[in-house]
Amino acid sequence: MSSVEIVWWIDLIWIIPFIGAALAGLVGVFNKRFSGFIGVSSIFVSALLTIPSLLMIIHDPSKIIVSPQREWFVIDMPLANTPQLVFRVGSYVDGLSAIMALMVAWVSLLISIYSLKYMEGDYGEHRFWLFFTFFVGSMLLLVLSSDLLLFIIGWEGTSLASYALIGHWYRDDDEITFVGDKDRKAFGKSMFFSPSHSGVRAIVMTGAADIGLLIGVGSMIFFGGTSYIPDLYLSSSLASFFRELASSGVLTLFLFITTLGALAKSAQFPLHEWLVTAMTGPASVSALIHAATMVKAGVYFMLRFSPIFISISSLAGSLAVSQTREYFIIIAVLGGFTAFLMATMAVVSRELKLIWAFSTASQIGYMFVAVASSGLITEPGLGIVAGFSHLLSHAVFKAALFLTAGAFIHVVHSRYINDMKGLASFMRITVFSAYLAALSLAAVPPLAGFWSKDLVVETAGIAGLSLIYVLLLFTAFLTGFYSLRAVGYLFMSSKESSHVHEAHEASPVMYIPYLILALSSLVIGFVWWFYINDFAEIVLAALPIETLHEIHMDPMVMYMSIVIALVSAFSSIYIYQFSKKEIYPVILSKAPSLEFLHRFLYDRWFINSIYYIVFVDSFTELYKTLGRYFEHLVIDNFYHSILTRFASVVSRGFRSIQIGFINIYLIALIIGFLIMFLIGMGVI
Amino acid sequence: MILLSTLLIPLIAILIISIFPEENKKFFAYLLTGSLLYSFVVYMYMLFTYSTLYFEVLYGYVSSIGYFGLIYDGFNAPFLLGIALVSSIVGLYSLPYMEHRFHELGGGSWRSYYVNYGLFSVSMLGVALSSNMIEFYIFLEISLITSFILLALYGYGDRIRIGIMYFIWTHVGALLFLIGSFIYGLNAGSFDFIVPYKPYYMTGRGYEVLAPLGLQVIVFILIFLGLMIKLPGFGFHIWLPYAHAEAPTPVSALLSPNLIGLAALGMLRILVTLFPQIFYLMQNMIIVWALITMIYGGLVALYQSDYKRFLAYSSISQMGYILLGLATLTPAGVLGAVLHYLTHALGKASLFMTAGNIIISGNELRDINKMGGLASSMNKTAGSALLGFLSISGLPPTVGIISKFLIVVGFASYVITGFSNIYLMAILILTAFIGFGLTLVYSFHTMRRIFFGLRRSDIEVSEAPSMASLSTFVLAIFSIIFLILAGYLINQAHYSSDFMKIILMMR
Repeated sequence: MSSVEIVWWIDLIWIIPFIGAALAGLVGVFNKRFSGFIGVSSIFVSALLTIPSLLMIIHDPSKIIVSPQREWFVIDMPLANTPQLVFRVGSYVDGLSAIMALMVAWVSLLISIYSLKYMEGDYGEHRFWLFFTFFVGSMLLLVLSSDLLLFIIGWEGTSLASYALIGHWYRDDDEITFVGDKDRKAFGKSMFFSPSHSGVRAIVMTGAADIGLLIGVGSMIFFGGTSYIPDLYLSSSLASFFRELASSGVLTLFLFITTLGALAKSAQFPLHEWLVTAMTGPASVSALIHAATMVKAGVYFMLRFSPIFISISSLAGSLAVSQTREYFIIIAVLGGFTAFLMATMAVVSRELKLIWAFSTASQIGYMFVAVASSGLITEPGLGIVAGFSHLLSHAVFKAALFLTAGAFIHVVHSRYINDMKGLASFMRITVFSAYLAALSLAAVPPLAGFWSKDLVVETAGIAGLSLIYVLLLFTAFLTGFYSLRAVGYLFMSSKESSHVHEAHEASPVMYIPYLILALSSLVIGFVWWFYINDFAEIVLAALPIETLHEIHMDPMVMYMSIVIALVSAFSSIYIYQFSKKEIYPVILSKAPSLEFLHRFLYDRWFINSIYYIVFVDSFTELYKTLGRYFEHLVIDNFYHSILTRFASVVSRGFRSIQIGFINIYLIALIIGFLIMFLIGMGVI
Repeated sequence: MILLSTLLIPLIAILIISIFPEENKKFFAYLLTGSLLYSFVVYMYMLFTYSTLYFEVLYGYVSSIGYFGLIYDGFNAPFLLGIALVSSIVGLYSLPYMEHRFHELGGGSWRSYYVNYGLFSVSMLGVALSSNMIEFYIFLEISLITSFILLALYGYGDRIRIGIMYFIWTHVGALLFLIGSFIYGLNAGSFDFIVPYKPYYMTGRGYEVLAPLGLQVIVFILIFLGLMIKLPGFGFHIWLPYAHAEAPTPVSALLSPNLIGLAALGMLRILVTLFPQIFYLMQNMIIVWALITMIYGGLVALYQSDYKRFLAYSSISQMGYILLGLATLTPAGVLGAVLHYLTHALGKASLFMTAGNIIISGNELRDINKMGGLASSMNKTAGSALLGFLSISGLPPTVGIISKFLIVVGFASYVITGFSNIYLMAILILTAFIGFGLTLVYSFHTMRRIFFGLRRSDIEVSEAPSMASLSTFVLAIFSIIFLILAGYLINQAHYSSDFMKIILMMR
């Protein structure tokens, strides 16, 4: 069993950004500019603190570091296995969370430095910093918390922060902040989304799915009798809970409901729609959501909980194991399908940030496949390592892609890639960074993206998910094509767009962060091969699954991936950079039959419209009917009209008896006596 | 006599107000706010120091009625804190708001307003503190009458008619409650539900003193229906949107989260304590009723275009949350329900205050369709509204995350332990998704319609007077503070675990 070391300052890693957020909001009332410096410096401090914590873990991977666990509250559970359920405030660092926290803090720091320049003079600058820093704090909290309730608080905190930042430009008065094409409709549903609208979509979709997380994690806490994460690893009461669920056949459903929150947060099908329109936020927010926080939270959830599910279900017996396998297959299928689905959308999209957004969901799909495979193979560690390494490499290059996208959009005042033609000759550093990051996304060796994606694909192969395996390879082809297509536009000639000639390189405050990110993608790629086994050891040492022996990659798979990446990338480079053609209009004019396919992909498989028709419209009809008719005609009318009218009719009836004629009263009296007499005689 | 002082000091303040001349409105406001703040501070102090049930006997044993006492334990602590805090801050808020309202009505009496307002607040504290059904009823009755007067005198629209409607409805509820209490109390020889000696809670007493099961069921149903009207549950809710939308906004801010939620405390104190067996018998029905209330309130809220009416329907939905948590009768669910009272008190009161701010500065603007984009000109109000919506939809950084978590967990364990049919379980869980999800939908949809996007009318709206906007913001900030203090609130219920144990054993 691993040794535990208590270190008091670990909590500060997530506390400092929260304090920074409060201060940034407070100071921003007086000086908007200054709040940015507070935000950046608080993130910087926690980024610094993540280094020694990781070093301590590297020094002895089997060790875990915890902060002093302060008791928060106790819930008495009379008659339960554990009579008292103690919730604590504290942090827990093992290899997984140490590396994750390091990545989150440093990538966020680079993004925040970029934002200092990018958000300068914005009308909501201090609001931006308040929520930006809160976002980083929540993410670090969910990564580092030792207690599941704190984990949930951090988790929901990221929902709030993403809502506020996606809808940052809440005035909806600038079309450059929108997503989609004006007046474009699919099945009568507008495909043009304003910032405030996108914010609502994000929080409703992720927040509603989080009920599943609350149900699942909450039940695990209350039936497992502990909310302390390491205690859950081998908890026998949790195992007996799983056994009970398995015996009534609901374990798969239970695990799936638990994962709903992660699926929504990581924008996996069918809960991916919010992420696409989340592009209404500032570019640095997109970078934060896609690289360091939010969508990575879902993957982190899977990385953290899959080992628990695996180890607990193996404790709980064969029925639980088979149902857990079913669950992992469902997750893998969803991940693989999302990877493919979003890649097809990215191929036709015209908005730069939107292309990267589609690709995020697609790449996260890869990670989900990898982590889900861990439940299906004999060496679960492989899936965890594959998913986690892809998460890290993706974080680095995707942050660079979004930050450069922000710089391009800023220069040309347009979201569309065909307005960005020719930027390559004006913004060399930015284009270089974007290009390098795009190559990494395209999985061109030796960049980081190549290695990690290859490992994911290989893991899916080992897990025997052959359909998903093929799907992932095909998606890799699409990825290579669309990522080079997006940056390829920067090299095309720029006759049509006039703004480009005024273009100039971004300021160093902006380009240094993304240059660092792009270069680190290259550096990680070079050293990846040498350190992957150490990485695996650090990540897996404290998790409740067996550690790996050694990762060796199948050369056949590797050759195949290289060929796919190179062919797709070069075909894209050939089309866009050498022959400098926009190929879709040409194809569509020659083959009009493909028009529908193009529309189908461009309108996101009509999934958005289907959701609006099925859910939004039906609920709108329902509440309108209830509000207009049921509430008024039935309930209100019953109490305040029918009932009162009935009362007045009854009272009129009684009043009409009492009209003052003595003989009628006497007759009534006699009849009354008669009836009483008859009752008394027993006749009636 | 510490609990008594929390009632007496505001009462003395009210007495002072009633003899001072009319024009000292600021003095009235500060005096009343200060005295209610005193009560709040006392409850906070007790939250940090007391670790047992605290029973204060006001008047010794009265034969065939029982003890008149004031109690403080983990279950009513969130209620007391919520009532004292909201009513003291809203007392300040009334100053700019009623200034505006009196101006509109062409005059009004500050003295009568503050006397009624103060009595209303104190009587709600009394309801939460009471240990005995008669006491509960008397305090409840005072709160009903004073709120009726405030509504009928200073309300909007057809205020006399709506006031009478409110009066009749709540009195039908109170009467049902009273009949049920009499049947119980006369049979049991006392009306106590908590007594000043161990084991304090008269758990299962109804089973011992009311011989035939039928009688118990009748008493249960009478009290239950009475409280259900007060809560209100679906079907009995129709008075609420009228009353809460047309009351003057400070009164709505007290009525909506504070008064109606007390019915939930009544259910816990009386129905769960005295009749746990019957509660279990009816548990499924109550859960379904709670789910319907949640969903129906949320759906009809979406239909509303009047901001205050919207908030009123949202309160109905929130009462569904509380009833759901309570009816699960699991430790998590019950704690979640009482904590959610505080969440809702802070969140909904600040939301009503934001509605008031828009009314003050937007020239009676209440129609959501004519709002839009208000965040630019009213940033403090927008921030408070966001915090309010975060509270009621259970998101951090507000205390709502804890209460929603506990309610959801309570419901999940009710479903998991109580059912074995997978389809039934799936349907119940799906219903919970819709119920909790609808709150998110109506909250953030409305937030957008009011504060974000483009303006939809050319009505000039600027930030409300600083007294109004600041007091709104301060109240909203408390929902963050109570997230940090949530641990104390839950730990207060610690010593009630024996109570919970007996309840659980009676299943």
